[in-house]
Amino acid sequence: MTTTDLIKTSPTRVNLDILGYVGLAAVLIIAPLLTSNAYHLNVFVIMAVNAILATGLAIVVRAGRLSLAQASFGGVGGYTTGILTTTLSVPFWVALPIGGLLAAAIGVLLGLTSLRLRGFYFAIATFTFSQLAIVILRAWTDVTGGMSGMFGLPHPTGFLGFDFSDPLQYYYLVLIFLFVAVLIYYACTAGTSFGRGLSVLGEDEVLARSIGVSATRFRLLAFAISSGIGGIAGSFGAHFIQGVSPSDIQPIVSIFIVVMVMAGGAKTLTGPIIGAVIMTMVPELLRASAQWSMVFYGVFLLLYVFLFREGLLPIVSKAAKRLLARFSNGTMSNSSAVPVQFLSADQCKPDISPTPVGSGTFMAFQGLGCSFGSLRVLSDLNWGVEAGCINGLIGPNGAGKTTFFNVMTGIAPLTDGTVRWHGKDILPVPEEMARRGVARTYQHARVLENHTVSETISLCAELSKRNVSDAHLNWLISVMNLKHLANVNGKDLTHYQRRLTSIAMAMASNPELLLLDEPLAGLDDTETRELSTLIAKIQRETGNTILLIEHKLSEVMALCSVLTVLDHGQIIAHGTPAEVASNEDVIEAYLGHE
Amino acid sequence: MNNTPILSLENVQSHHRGAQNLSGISFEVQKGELVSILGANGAGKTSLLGVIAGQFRASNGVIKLEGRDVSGLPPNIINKLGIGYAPQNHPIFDSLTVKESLMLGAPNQKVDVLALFPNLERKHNQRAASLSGGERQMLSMAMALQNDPKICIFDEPSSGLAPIIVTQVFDAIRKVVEAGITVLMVEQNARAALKIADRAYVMEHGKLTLSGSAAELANNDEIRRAYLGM
Amino acid sequence: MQLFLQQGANGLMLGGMFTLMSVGLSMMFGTMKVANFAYGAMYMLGGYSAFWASNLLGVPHLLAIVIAFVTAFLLGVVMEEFGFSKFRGNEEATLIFGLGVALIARGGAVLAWGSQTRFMPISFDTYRVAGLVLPSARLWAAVASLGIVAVVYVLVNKTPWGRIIRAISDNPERAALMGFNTRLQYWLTAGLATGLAGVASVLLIPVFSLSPAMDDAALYTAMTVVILGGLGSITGCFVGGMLLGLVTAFSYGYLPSPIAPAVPLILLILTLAIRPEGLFGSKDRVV
Repeated sequence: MTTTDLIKTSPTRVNLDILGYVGLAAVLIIAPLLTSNAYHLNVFVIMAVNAILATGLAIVVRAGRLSLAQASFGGVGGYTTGILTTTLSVPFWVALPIGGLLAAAIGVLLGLTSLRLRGFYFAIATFTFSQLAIVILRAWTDVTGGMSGMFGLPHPTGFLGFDFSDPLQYYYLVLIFLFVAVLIYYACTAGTSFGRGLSVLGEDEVLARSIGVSATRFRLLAFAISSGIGGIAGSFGAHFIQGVSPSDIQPIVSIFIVVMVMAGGAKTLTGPIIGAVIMTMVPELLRASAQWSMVFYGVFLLLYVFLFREGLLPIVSKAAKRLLARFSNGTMSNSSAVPVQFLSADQCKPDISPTPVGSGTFMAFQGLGCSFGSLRVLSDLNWGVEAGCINGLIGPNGAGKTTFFNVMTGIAPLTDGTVRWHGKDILPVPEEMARRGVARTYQHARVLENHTVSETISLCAELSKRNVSDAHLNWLISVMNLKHLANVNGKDLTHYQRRLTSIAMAMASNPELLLLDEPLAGLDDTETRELSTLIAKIQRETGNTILLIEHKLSEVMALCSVLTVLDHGQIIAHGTPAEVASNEDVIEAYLGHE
Repeated sequence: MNNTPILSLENVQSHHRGAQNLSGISFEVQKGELVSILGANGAGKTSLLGVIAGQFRASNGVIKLEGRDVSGLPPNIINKLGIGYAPQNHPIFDSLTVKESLMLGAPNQKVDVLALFPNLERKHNQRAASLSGGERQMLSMAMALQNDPKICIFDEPSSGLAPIIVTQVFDAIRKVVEAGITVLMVEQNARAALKIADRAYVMEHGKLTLSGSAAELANNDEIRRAYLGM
Repeated sequence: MQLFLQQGANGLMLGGMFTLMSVGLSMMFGTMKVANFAYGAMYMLGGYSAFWASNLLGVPHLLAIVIAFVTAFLLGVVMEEFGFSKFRGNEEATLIFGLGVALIARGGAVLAWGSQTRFMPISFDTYRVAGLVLPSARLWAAVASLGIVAVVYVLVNKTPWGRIIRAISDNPERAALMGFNTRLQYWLTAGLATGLAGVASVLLIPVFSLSPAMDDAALYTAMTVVILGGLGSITGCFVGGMLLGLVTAFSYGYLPSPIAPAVPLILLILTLAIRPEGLFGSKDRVV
C-alpha cells in the first residue's frame, strides 16, 4: 500500500517564514537600544502604535472591505481611557479594556449600518462615520475638551518595577501588545476556521455564503475585533503623548493607516507592521514636513497601485523563495489553508448522502412566487424534488430557472408561498441552506482564484460544518479528474477545469441536494459527454439528489428520470422525459418543430 | 466579375501567454457565402475571430478585407472598414434601450433587422438588460449588422439558447445571407450549422484540418463521428 | 417665519452651489463608472489655475473660467489615460489611485502656494428681495448650476454622443467592435467631467474662496450629493444637491453651531444604511 502524493509544506518555505518573523522581531526589539535620543524613542513608540492600528485594519481588509475609519476607533479608545483616567480617576489598566470594548461596540454599530455596502460605498460610510465622530467630540466640550481636546493624560501605571514614563519601557510595552495583535490577526486569517471563512468571504462573498459562511456574523465579528484593537492602540498612543484631540482622528490619519496596510500588504502577517515601519520612519529620516509626508504617502499609494499590488513584503519574500527554491524541490503553495491529504486508492470512497431513494419529496414548494418590485419572475410553483435521482429543469431563456435556484438558496426573495424542507416550512438563507445540505453551482463557474484546487475543496468541506470524511474528498478529486490539478490555483484553470472544480466544490460538503446551473454550457461535444457521465456517476455513487438546469437536450433526456418545464415563471409540464418531449405546450414554447 | 474574396487569411499565426494558439491559418470567404468554422473547445475558434476583428494581434500572416490588408488595425477601424462582429455570449449594452442600441450605427440597407427579429420590435423601448437570453442574442446580431458590413461574423450564436430559439436564430442567419450579406460563423452545434452553411472548415488545436462543402462534411460518416460527434 | 424663508432661500442657493460642485463627479460615476477620489483635487487645481491667470496675467473673469475649464479638462484626460484606464473594473485600485493623486496634489499645493486662503478681486452685490438677503454671487452660481445640469442631462440622455458614451460605459469592447474609438471617448468624458469641476470652482470662489484644503470639502460634498441623489443620475445630482443644501441651511439656521454639521452627516449615513442607491440610482450598482 503506497501513499500517493502527500501534499506537505516544503521545509524550506517554513524555514523562510520563521526566519522572516524572527528577523523582524529581532530588529524591532534591538533597534531602539541603538539610540539614546529621546526624540528617536518617541518615533519608535508612535511607529509601534501605528503598527497595531495597521494590523487591526488588515483584518477588515482581508474580509473584503476598505475602512477609512481606523484612526477614529483609535480616538474612541484614546478619549475613553483619557476621560476615565482623568475625570473619573479610573486606573489605566482598568480603563484600557473598557476603551477597547467601547471601540469594538462602535465598530459593530458601524458594521451594522454598512452591512450591505461594499467597495466605494463602504469606504464612504466609514469616512462619514469618522467625520461624525469629530463633530461629536468637538461639540461635547464638557466631557471631551472640545476642539482643543484633553491634556495631562497619565502614563499607564507601572508594575513590577516597570516605569512607563520611560519611552524605552513604554515601547516594549506597546511591542507586547503588537505581538498579541499579530496573534489575533493570525487567528482571523488562516489560523482558525473563522479566519479561513473570513478570507473566503473577502475573496468571493456569494461563493462564501453558498458554502456556509455567515457573512453578517463573520463581518461583524471582524469589525469588532479590528476596531477593538484600534481602540487599544489609540489608548497607548494617547497616554504616551499624554493628550488626545480631534485632529488625531482626522480622516487623513485613517488614510495614512490604509497606506501602511497597502504598503506592507495585507496578504501576510507582518505586512502591516512593515508598512507602519516604512510609513513612519521614512518621513522622519527625511525630516519631512507634514506636506512632504503627504506627498510621500501619495507617491507610495501610486507606487502600490501601479507596481506592487500585493505590498512590498510579498515581492521581497517571493524573490527570496524563488532563490531558495533553486536549492530544493519543495512545492510552493501561496496559501496557508490546509490542503487535502491524499490517501491511497482503496481508501477513497464517497460518503453516502443521507436521503434515501423513494423518500418522496424532501424539498417541496407550494405556491412559490418571486417578484422584484413589480416584475413577477415566478408564480404559483407547486412542485417537489424527487429524492435519489436526477431531476431536470428546462425551459426557454428568461423562464426563471436560475431565479428559482436563487430562491431555493436564499439569494432571491421568496415573495409568495412556502418552501418545505423535510416537511418543515423554512425561509431560505444562503449559509443555512448550505449547512442543511443544499449546494449549487453557477452559470459562470465560481472558484477561488487564489487558492489551489485541493485547498478550495477542503475549505468548502470545512466551512459547511457538515461531517465530511477525508475519504469522500479523495474520492471526489479522483472522480472529477482533478488529481493532476490539485496544486493549481483557481485563476490558472481552463474553462472546463473550472467547471469540474466548481462541481467538486459543491459536492465537497456531501450535500443532500445538488443544484447544477447549466453545467454543460460552453463545453464541446467531448467535454459534454465526459461531464454528463460524471454527473450520472456522482449521483449513482452517493445516492444524493440532483436538480439540473440544462439546454443540451440529448444529455437532459439521458440523465434525468423526471423533467419539469418552466415557461414565463410557471410550470407548464412535469413528468418523464418521454412524456415531456411529446407535450404540445413544451414543443410550442421550447423545443420547436424539427 | 470580381473574384476578390471578401475575406482572406494567409498563414495567420498568433500567440497567447507564450503558447501558440493559431498556427498557419489560411482560408477565404467569397462574397455572399455562409461559411462555418466548427471544432471543439480550445481549438482556437474564438481566438481566430478575435484576430480577424482586431481584438488581438496576429504574430504572423496577413488578413485581407476585399483585397485590402487590415492586419493589426484596431477593432473600431476594422468595423468601419466593413467587418461586423457579434462575439460569444451576446454582449450588449444593458442600460440602452433596444431602440437606442439600434441607433448607434447606421441601419442596414439590405436587411430590415426589426423584420428579421420581430421580438426586438415588440420590445423596442425596453432596456436591453430586461431581455431574455434569446432576445439578447438577436439584439447582438442586429447590432453587428449595423453600418452595412461587407461581412458579418457570428461567434457561437446558438450557445446557451433554448432549442426553439436556436431555430429562429439560424433562420435569421439564413435570411441575412439571402439578402446578400456574407456571413462567417463559428459554431459548436455542427448539425445545425451544416444545415444552413455553404462551406465549412474544421478547426483543431489552432489549425484548419478539414474543409469542404457543407454537404460533403455532413455526409461523411467518419468525419461525423470523429469531429462532429454526430 | 422670516428666518424660515431666509434659510429656505439660503438652502436653495446653497443647493444650487452644491449641485454645481457635484455635476462633474456625477458624470464620472455615471458614464465612466469611476469613483474619483481625486475629484476634489481637480476642483482645487482648476480654481487655482483661474486665480493665478487672473492674478499674474490680469485675465478677465470670463476668460479665467475658460482657463479653469481647460486646465481641469487636461488634468482629467491625463488621469484617465495614465490611471483610470489601467484600473477599469478594479474598484479598489481606482479608489487608491485617486487617493494617491489627491494626497500629492494637496501636499504639493501647500508647498507650492502656501496654505493661506485666496480671494479673487470680483465685487458682487447683494440683492434684497421681499426682505430676503440674496448675495448675487450665490444666486448666479445657483443659476449657473441649473443651466449646467440641464445641458449635461440633455447631452447624456438625448444626443447621439450621449448614446455613444453610455454604450461605452456599459461595454467598451463591444462599443469598439461597433466602430467607436473608446479611448478618445473616455478622454472626452473624463475631460468634460473634471472641466466642469474646474468651472464650478471658479464660480464658487466668491462664496467659498480658495485654499489647498478645499479639496476635502469639495470632494466630500460632491460625494454626499451624488450618493443622496443616486450614482449615475444627473437628475439625482440636482435633487440631491438641493436636498443637501436645504438640510444644511436649516440645520445651521436652527441648531447650535457645534451640532449643525452632524445633520448632513447623519442624513448620509441613514441613506447608506437604508437606501444606498439614493433617490434615483439603481440597486445593481451598489449591493
